[in-house]
Amino acid sequence: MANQSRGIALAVLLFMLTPITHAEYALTDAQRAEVSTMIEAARLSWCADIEAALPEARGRGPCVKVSKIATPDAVVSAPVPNRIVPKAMQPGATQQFSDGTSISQAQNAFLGHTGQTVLDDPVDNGKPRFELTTTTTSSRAGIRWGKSYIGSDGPDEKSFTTLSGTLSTPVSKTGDSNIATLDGFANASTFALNLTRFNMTGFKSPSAKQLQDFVARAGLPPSVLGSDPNLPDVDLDKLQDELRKIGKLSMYSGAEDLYFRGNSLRWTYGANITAGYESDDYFKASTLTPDTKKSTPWSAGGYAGFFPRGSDIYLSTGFDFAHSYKVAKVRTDCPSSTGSPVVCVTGSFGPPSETDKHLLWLAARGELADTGIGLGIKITHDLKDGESGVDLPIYLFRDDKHLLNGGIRVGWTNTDHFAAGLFVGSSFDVTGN
Amino acid sequence: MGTKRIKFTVIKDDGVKAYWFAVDNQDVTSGQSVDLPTAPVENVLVWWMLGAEGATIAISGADPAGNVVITRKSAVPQNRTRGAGSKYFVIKDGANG
Repeated sequence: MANQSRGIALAVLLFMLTPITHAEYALTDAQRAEVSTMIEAARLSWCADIEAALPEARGRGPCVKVSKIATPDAVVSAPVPNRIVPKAMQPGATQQFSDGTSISQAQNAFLGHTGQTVLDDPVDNGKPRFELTTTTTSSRAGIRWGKSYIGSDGPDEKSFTTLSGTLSTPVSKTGDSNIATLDGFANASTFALNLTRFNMTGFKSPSAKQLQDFVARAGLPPSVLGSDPNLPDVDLDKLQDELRKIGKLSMYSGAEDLYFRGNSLRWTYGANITAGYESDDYFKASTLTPDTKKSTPWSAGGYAGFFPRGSDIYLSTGFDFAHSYKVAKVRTDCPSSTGSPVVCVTGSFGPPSETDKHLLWLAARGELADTGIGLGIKITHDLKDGESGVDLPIYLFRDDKHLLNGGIRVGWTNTDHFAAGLFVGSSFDVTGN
Repeated sequence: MGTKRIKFTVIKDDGVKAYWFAVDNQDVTSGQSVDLPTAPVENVLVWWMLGAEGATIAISGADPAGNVVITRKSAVPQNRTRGAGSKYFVIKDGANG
């Protein structure tokens, strides 16, 4: 069942990553040939990675071997994860074409949008970790660390508070906002501080007799309680395994009731601030000469979330105020003809424009029962300019500790539409990541 | 009957979002030391955690000489986000080994 579900998800990804053509960027034959060569090299490298990790992907979707990928009149918009983009194609690098023209690779036609780093997620356990996220059109790397505090707020209510810091930087950049969150930090190196608090009620401490009674009632052998049944040594994981073995998994809720009140509440809230630095290349509209603008986007926000009673689905909402910089749309322009050969350039014309974002978001996270697939959806709306975005990470792969920590990521905005890609190294749980 | 000062340490993996534990109904945090009665009195360690399926927590307690008197590892059960457990134990007057 789990493999079938993963296969379906993979098929959806491969379908979405099938090359799409755009007719708006007319290039010379030489440019088309060079772009096609780069795309094909990236595609083959990426497919090799995919096929190594997923044998079932061999020969499917964009990984089908083709003899020719170039289209005659347009640049191919191919799914190129930037972690395999050559250094010369990294942000700010300029690709020289054989006829002397150049294209800023940060503004190249097949590098469109940027996905978010999953390090942005609100709840953290404060443990340092490194992460690399790559999507169709960009990558980010980050490191996070923090400190956690435990508190008791009542006889059966406890809290877990975490203060964490995240340093994150784009490995490549092209877009002006993260496809999922619209936060405007897609091109910026950032430092973020997060304060989160997790509260829960309904803690219970079963007595030895209660544990012995449950084991007897379930028909489990006394050895489940450990070597000395008078000194029980047992946990819910072990009880679940034992109940499964004897076909009485339906009694597991009774085991959980030994430790948690049935109507216990779980909720979380927190706040964050982020400061960034970015450098954006553009062409002066009047002279077509290249220039660079350095800027410092920032944001501040808060969130709150909870588990509905009796549910393992996490629902959350939040608001972020972001001051960011929007890069001008990429286009090709040519100077007025003076009789000599015309040299055209492609890129953003004019410096990035400052923009404020008032982002309201809703999110839900959960694991599909019996499929081994984790899902998290986040819908963001900018109250100021009306832009909306949806981010859907789908967790398909587990690490050596059986934790879901990789999969595919699908994003959509009402202005730039779909982007998709892979991510690795981010452990899934319902309250974050 | 005497008492021993036991220092508790917790190691958890990334999947654990929050955890709590108590010894003899007294809330304890990682790195905290508590005075516990020795044999023949029974002590009980209880833990609770929230996180991803399979995420693990390891709790250990050691006396000032470094002798481990209790250790326990536990995981969040399959298809669940909550884990918990109990371990009753007796601290010998000497090292528990």
